[in-house]
Amino acid sequence: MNRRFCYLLAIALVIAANLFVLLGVRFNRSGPPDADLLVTERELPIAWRSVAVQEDSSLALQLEVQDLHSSQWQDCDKLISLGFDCPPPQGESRRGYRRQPSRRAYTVLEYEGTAWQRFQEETKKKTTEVELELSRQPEQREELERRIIALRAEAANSSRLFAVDLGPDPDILRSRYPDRSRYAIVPSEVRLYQYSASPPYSVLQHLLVDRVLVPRDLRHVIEDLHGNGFLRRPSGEDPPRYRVALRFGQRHEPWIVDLRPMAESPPSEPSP
Amino acid sequence: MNREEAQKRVDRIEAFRHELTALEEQGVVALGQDGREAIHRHHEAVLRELAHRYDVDISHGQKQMSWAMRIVSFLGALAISAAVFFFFYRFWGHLATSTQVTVLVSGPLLATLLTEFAARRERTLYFATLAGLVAFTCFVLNLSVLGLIFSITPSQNAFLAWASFALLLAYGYGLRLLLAAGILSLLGFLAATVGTWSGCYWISFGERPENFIIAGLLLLVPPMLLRHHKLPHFPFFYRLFGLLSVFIAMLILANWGHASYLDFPAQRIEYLYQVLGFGGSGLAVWLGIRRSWPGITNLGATFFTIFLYTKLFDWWWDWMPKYLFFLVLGLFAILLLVALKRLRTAEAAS
Repeated sequence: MNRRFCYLLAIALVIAANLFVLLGVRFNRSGPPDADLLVTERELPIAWRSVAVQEDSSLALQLEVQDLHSSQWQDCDKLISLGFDCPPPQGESRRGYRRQPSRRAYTVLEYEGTAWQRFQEETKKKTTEVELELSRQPEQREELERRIIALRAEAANSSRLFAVDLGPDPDILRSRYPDRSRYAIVPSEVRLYQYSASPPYSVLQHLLVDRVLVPRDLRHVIEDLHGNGFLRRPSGEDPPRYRVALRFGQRHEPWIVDLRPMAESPPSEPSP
Repeated sequence: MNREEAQKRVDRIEAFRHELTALEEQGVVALGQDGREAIHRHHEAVLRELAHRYDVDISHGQKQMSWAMRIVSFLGALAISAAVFFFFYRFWGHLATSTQVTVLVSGPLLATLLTEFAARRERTLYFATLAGLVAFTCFVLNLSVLGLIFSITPSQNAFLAWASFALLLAYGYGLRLLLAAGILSLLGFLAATVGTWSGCYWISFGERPENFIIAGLLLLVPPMLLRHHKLPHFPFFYRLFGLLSVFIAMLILANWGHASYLDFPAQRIEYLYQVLGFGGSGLAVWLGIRRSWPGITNLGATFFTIFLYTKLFDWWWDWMPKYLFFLVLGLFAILLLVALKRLRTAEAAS
């Protein structure tokens, strides 16, 4: 092949690929957003890093979602709509059920909804039970107190974002969950999780985008929180330190539009 | 004539000189002083011309240096690519998004310009190889980091873009390392795309080795369709990576049938792939000998031996005393040697 032709084509390819990507980003961020969630550090803590801080200067937040790994469905319709064989044929082995390939899907994330209320009630009930047990069995005080602390920390710190539904078509899901300030629909990969010849059927969901980078002009909010120790995650019953306005675009890809300390009042309308 | 052909001519001249000296020493031929000098003058002129035009190696020492330079340019490219990668990661958090995008886009563009500049300045292409690999790394960094910055859903099409870029530089400048990078990216794209045919989401394409068998077989097609007159060494790389992909996938399935798409008991799948592995590697040996592709013959023989040894391990490792097991392995190696020697003799006779 002609050298000059290849060289110019290689340059054109780089430009075309970048244009394609950036136009996709522009499309995602144009028009009315698909969802606007106002969450806190509980749902978007600082992401773990695979390399040392001094080697990677970026700051990313990780979407923490509950019930992502153990969603259970009482009927087969949901799984069939995603392309899985369900129910497993008579005599099908555990391997045969689980070896079905993963599927592309969309997961509905609910913020501070009924799933969160149920979780709170369950945690409260468990705490009461352990407290009762403590009064009955004072000899196990140390262990039971540890469990009470863990349960309180879970209630105070865990994410209020729950995976509540999934499906192959984001528009159908949106028509089912129209509240855009409470429900976000995000792309995910779904696989069958646990063999079961009868309901409930378990699936494992993996969000395709579960990290968002903090833009440079907003990262001072997190850096100012605790000076050099800002990368520390809250522990025990520490309250969340910041709140984030997270926006999802036309392609269901998220970005941060606002970030401020909890002490400040939340933005009424996230700026574009 | 290209540089490769020029180097072959130089090698032929060197071989001719050695053979002529040997023939003269044995008294088979005796050239007169004039004839000898005429040939010598002609060859010296040819060598000077080729060295001037193509920068070929005209001595043994130069050849050794060339190999050293190839290795150094490869290692240098790896080191500079790592430097670019870590340099960007160290500072990108302090840049505005628009600056990040500008840096990411300009990286592969500048490195491509540098490749062209280096190729114009130096015909041996060691520096062009180095710059080309850095350009490829910059382009990989470019698309993957844009994905991180804008939280973009990952797509297998990125592999196609990387493959196209590396192959354009490889074909444009005749760079083998870029060809290898391009073929590996293409293999990733093909395997991911084959994976989606079963309804699987592309990210999980590595879970089913059969994706790599089909992708590997598809890689054997380009050298059949495209003529490589100017780059005669390129088809070998397609065959090498294609068959490597096929045999490694077969080897995995021959030992772990659970990973297969096939809806049979795992043991039956393993038997099937053991048979296919033996047959396929034997076929590669035969094809390599028939078409004079020594690399493919070696690859086939290597995988035939690996398939055989893993099978013997399955059968006899627990059952036999270890000394006897290794003795049997040695005997099988001798049997293989005898079989290959017969093939070699038959080939020489034909």
